[in-house]
Amino acid sequence: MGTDRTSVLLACLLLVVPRPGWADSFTLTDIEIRDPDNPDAQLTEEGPDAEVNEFFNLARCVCETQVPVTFRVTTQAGVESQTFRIVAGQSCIDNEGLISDQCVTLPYDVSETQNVTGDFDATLSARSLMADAACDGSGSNTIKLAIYVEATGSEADWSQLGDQQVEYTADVDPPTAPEPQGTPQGGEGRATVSFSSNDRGEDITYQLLCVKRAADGSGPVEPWKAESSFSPAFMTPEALCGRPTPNASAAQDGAEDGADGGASGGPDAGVDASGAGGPDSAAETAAGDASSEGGGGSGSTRPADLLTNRAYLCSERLRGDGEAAVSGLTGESEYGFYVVAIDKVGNPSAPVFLGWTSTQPAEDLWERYRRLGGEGEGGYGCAASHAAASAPWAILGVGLFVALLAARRSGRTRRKRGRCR
Amino acid sequence: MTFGRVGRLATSSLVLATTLLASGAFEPLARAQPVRTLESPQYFAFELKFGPYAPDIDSEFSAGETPFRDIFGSGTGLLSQLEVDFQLLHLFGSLGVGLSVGYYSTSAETCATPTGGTDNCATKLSGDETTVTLVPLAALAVYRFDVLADRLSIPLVPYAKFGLNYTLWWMRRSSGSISQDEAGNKARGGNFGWQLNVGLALRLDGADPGAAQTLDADFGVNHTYLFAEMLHVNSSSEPRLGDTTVMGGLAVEF
Repeated sequence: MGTDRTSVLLACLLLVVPRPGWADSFTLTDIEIRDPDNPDAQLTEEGPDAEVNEFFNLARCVCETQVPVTFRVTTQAGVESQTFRIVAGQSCIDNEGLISDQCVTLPYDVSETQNVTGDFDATLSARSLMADAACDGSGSNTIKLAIYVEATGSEADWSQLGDQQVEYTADVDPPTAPEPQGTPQGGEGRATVSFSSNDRGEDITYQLLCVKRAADGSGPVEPWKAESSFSPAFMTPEALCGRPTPNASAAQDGAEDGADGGASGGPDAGVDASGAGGPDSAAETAAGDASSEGGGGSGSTRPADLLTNRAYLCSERLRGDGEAAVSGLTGESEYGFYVVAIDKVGNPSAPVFLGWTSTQPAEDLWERYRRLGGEGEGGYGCAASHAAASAPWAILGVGLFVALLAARRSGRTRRKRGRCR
Repeated sequence: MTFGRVGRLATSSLVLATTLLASGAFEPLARAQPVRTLESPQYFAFELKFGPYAPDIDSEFSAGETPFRDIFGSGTGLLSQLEVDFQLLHLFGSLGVGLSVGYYSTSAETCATPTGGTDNCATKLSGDETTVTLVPLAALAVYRFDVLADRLSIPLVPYAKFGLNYTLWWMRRSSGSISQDEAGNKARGGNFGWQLNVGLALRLDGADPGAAQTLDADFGVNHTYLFAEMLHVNSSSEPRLGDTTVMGGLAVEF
């Protein structure tokens, strides 16, 4: 993940640019970018674990993330009513000196004739803070926060009091893709898959993606459900202001490169993946080929929009590798499973195909008991989870023991009987 | 669990206790008896015990069907129980009433539905589990023959308990949902029955008389025991959830 790229390259820089004489009545200090989770604290800007670095690495995936900022303006005596504006980003003021709508206006009316210090709090979107509203930039990126003051009575006469620029390094290196372990096992309405991590970095998580096709293996490959209730734990192009991530682009290129060999040479030749809805022809990537071969020769066809269509998501974020289960499957389809590794800033690895499987009808104890003629009918009473079934009783029992013991110890139930040992 | 296994376990427990006594392991206890110390009054007993358990669901079937054994095999799960007794009378031994609650849960892979051949659940579905959970509740009459320990310095207390049992039960699938049969009957309910406990407790006070006296003086704990007992639970309705097994644990009287 390019640990050498996780350091902040440039700390804050407070600039005082040339400005008209009337603007000298204002002094700008203490521009700070606050921690959205703790607005009382400033995002640290130095060191390899700089919070501002991690924050904007994450924020670039969710451009509308709200970022609190604060600054202080001191006006000198004799200044009349003025209006300040925070200008975020680098193209907020057009050639005519007008401020676009994305700028936040902070009216600051000064009527006193003495020095006044005003502390301002504002909340800006990550998108507006980033240069040219480009959330998905890789490498070094600059976020800029500038404070302007408007000359009295002039709509287009703005003077910059100062600004703060913070440079962070965008981490767009995907984690190493995991490896499949065995083949998926179908159960009744569910399947279990296994995979192992190839990336021992910290904070690697995983998420499963599922496709389906007709039970006989024919027909188009499509999302496992029309609508999935799961949310992506990784960056998606949609989140990146509509721009594809470098990783997604690479994966897509790989898919296109491998189209011929995967679609025509494997046992799934003829599978029409274009029905998945992606604009590009879908095919197997090298990873998909390798994993499918290891999985018993049943190839996969990766839809082009596997990482962009939420309907493919079939699990929550998984905190570790190993075995995972997907439920909610039906017997009418055959299901294919992919896994992606996700690093701490949301970069997904290339999806790895784990294999195809179908659900299998199964018989649990109750079904078997009833089918063999068991007379118990059940259907009443309550049921609880393991913890809910055992914990209350244990707490009640031990609590009763302790309470009785305490009562005995305090002598409330004591009645000397004079028994001798 | 069969009576044969229970018998072997009970026999082993008695042999162990006899061997300990014969080897003088509790000699300090005997020496401690003549020390006359005033003992605090005793009203309660508390037990924590564990033992193997396998609900006897298959006993309902007369034609040899064994749905429980098919899925769970011959293995057993662990039954954990807490019991609080209120000792009402101290005459020739103690007589009281007790309340107990337990928890038992075991899981196994489901059977692949047979498409032909023998229906013996030979094929299991990996990762697809069925779970049966029991919460047995019981109200018991308890008699402890502690005369030997109190008066003759023999640290063994035979006891017996008999009472009514009500067992809450349910069965789940891997998905966490309650199992259902084809008719939609859900696998949950409660069964009345009765239960009998017969056991032998080894009084531990003699192992460290000083500590025993301190426990009594500071906390009001009169005696501590290690015990083993035979537990028979009879279920009066189906599915039959009873079993005959051996439990072991720790008890205190206070």
